[in-house]
Amino acid sequence: MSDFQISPELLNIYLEEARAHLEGLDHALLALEREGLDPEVVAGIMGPLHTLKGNSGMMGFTGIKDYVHRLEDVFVRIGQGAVTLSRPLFDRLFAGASALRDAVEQACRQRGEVRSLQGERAVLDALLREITQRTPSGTAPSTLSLHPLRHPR
Amino acid sequence: MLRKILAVDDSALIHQMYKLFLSRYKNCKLISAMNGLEALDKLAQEEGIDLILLDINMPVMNGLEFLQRLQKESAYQAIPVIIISTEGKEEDTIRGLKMGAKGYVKKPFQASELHGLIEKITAAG
Repeated sequence: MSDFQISPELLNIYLEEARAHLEGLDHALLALEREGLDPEVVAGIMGPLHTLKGNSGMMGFTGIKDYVHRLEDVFVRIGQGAVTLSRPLFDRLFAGASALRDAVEQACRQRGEVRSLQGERAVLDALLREITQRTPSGTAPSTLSLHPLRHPR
Repeated sequence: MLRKILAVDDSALIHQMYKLFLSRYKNCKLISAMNGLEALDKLAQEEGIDLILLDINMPVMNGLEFLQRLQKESAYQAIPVIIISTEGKEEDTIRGLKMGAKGYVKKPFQASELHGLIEKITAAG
């Protein structure tokens, strides 16, 4: 954790930027859900996630930072085509994004992390394990492809 | 003595943290750029920049592309660069060091850690 003194001003700047990054995450998920895999959409969300991770770490929000790190890993695997985009996958990712937003808002209000993301992080860990076990070469789709997407949001 | 530091990062939060951190350096001017391209403009506008704090992951022109451009400009080659990296992009940090950066710190970093590295690099320079 950084030893910078976290002032209300820093919290406000962090929150404003985090909201923009989380909005970008929502847009990327919606675009992928509606249009299918688009490498540009995946590449476009990596920068905001990376910045959100770095900023969260600098603010001492370790749980948020760790969750975003896992999310980056998932998007890397999506970009590699290792995961077929499906309803169960999007259910997990949208739920995670909602929890992440909640954790960020609460952390800024309380000047510290109060909303744990451990459960959501475990979901991403399980997903990444599943991808690794099913696709050691990193090329074939995971079992999530067994549930094809039928009803875009 | 440090007179001008150019900080390159796409986050307003990090720029504000630099502003607070660099207040310990008396009479030192902080120049901010949000990406590599903007940083090149600042270098052209401002004379006597003593140090560059460089993020890698940025839109428009990232830190590695910026370093590449810096290497080609003889007027800027002597300016020490410190990479401010983020967990998960270690290979980019290594590339940056091979491209001439003098050191790096990884976010989240301690203010004292960055201060120590600045002292070390500017003393050696």
